Amino acid sequence: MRDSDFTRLLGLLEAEVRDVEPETAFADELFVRLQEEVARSPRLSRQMVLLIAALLLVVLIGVTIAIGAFLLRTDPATELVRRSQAVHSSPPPFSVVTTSGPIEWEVPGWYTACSDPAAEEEWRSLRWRYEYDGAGSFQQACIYGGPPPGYVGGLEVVTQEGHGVWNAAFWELLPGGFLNRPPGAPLATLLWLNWLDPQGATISCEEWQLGDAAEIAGRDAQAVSCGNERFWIDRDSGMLLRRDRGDEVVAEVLELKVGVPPDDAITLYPAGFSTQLVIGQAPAQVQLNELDGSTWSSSALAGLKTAVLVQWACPEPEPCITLGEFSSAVAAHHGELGGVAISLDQATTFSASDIEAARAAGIPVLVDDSSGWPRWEYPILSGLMLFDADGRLAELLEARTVASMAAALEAFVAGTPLPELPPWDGYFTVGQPAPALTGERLGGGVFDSSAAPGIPVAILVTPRYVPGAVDAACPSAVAAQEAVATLASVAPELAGSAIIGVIAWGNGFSGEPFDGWDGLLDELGVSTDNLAVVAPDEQAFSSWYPFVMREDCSSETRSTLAVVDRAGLVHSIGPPPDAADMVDLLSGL
Amino acid sequence: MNGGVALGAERTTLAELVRDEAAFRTWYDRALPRVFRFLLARCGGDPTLAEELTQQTFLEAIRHRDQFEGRSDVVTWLCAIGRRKLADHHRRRQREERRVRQLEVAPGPEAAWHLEDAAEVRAVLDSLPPDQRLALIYRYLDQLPVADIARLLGRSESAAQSLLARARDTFRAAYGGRTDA
Repeated sequence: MRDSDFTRLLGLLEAEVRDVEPETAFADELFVRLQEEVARSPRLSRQMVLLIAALLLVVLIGVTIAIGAFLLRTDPATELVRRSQAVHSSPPPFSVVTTSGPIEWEVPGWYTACSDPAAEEEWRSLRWRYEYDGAGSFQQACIYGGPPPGYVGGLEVVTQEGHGVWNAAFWELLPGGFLNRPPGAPLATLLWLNWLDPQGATISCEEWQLGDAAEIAGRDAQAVSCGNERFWIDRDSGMLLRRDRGDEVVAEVLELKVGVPPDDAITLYPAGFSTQLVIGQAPAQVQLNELDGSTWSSSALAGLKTAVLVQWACPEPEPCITLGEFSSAVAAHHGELGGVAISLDQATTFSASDIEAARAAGIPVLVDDSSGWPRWEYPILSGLMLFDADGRLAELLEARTVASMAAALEAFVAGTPLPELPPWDGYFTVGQPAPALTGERLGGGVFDSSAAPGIPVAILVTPRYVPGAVDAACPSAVAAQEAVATLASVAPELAGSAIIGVIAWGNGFSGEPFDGWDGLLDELGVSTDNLAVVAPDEQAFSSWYPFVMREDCSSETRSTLAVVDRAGLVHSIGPPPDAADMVDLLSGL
Repeated sequence: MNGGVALGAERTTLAELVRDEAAFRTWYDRALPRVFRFLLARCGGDPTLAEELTQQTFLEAIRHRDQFEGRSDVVTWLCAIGRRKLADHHRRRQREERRVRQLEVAPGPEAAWHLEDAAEVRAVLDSLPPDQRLALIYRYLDQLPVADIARLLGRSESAAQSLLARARDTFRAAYGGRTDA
């Protein structure tokens, strides 16, 4: 039997089953089992297996490199190499440039100095300025004089949270002008910095980001970054540190300089704040015109200590130093102190008699027709600049009261530290003790809201002088008279259970009489026994009036009712409710 | 693909095919008879055994579906698996038969042989030891080279050659005895 015979014979086996089909039940059952197998054991494709293997290989390589780098690492800097040192003998100039487009600066009827709750007692506001957006919030830039040689500035954003309730957030400016703003904080403000790097090029950044605290060569530093560029600021010296790694590890200390924003930035974004005057330095030379037409040069500041009163508009009803009062205060130091008065608008700032008094005291009265202010940028609301005998700016104060001005000039002439400004506490905070309202009352005598403890107090504060004809086109005037009428209607009912009072624009703030109020109350059918019309004294005015921002006809300046509970805490500040709600409110306290 | 049991132009691997149940079923319905017949012809015409081996073959194929890359006919790949399953089966059976033969007497000549009848061939093959039976099937039915037969049976090539020689002699003797009868 040959091989071909075997092939033929065994081929019969296949021929025999050529038409045999597997049983359908078997086929179905097997298919189900196969599906179960597929579901139970999902398989990775070979490509996926290869990909995973490749990734694992990459990770393995990365770990190996990291371990190698760690073993071969170079230690960070351990010594500080000082190339130069920036010593700020004066507040570092800084600039805040807004991006919100042209801003219409508006001067409210009140103001406050920059405040830093954490350091109010230590630091003193050197200068301030703020912008008001007309919608209940404003920003103000401040520089504080801290322990020498450092100066700290900051940007304070104050937001109105309800009428008369303000929330202030303060971002410190680190030495050198870095805005210590938390990353992501909503603030439409850019801070332009100009730092000098070792090559002399300017390092500028539209928005520096605050990083973590760090220790560089044993120095306490603050990390800041601009994009991928990272620096550290030495907290003690204010110098800029940059850490390099390499064969020779060196921690460099770079000179830190700050400067004005670049010209193109000013062109692109209108400047919101800038400082040109520097404590300890002579100001840029300016020439201003005297009222008589002659020319005054700032070079005349040298030779004698000089006090310069700058005033554009007295922020009524805030107390404001008059030129006559300034002249008297300067004249008190005849021979030791000279005086200069500058106004941006002579026609509305100084009275004729005060100008005459100033001239009599040898005080030039100047009008700054915008040639000096752009170079000095001094406060425009009653500021007091003090220059030493060398013509350098020694101090810049807010000229708030005659007493504080006199004390400041006394100390300046004597060479002693200037007195601290009195604290300003005009904020009302719901739930916090309310300041007392004191002052002359209609009908005679003194009103004191704290004289009857345990009785609620409701004070209506109006931005308008209420008696007399009402201009129907002026919403705030209409609202003021309506509010007084509502309060008067409930006053008899609440007699003995609540103290009801009104302070209104023109109620003797500057010694004006209560003209027209008697007739108004008679017309409304109430007496001063039940409704006290009060002319607040200076301190009370500072406390009570600020939340009525200004006297104008806008709907935002309508009257406000301040309610103090039996415990003397501020219960609420807001629009006066109607009569029924007002009774319920005061009866329920 | 050949044999009408292609995976489809858009599916190049069995792993991808099984994800589509309808396509998987279509392919299965076409592949199953071929694999079943392949094994039925080689397991002595025993449909139960053929079903068991077919099941093992498909299950193993599914479990190792990622190893099939579609470069050949998938049924060819399945038959290769089935061939191994058949070898495993005969090895088990051979061990069992060795134990049984210790107790059995040699079988007597059977009647009713029909020349060149598939049943006769099958009967002769069944009378052979399993390894000889497989050697003949692999060599003359599957046309495998001796080297592949050696690998399948787990022997050296020379041992497989000797096995084939013994299988042919045994078959000739048994087949001749039947044809002489």
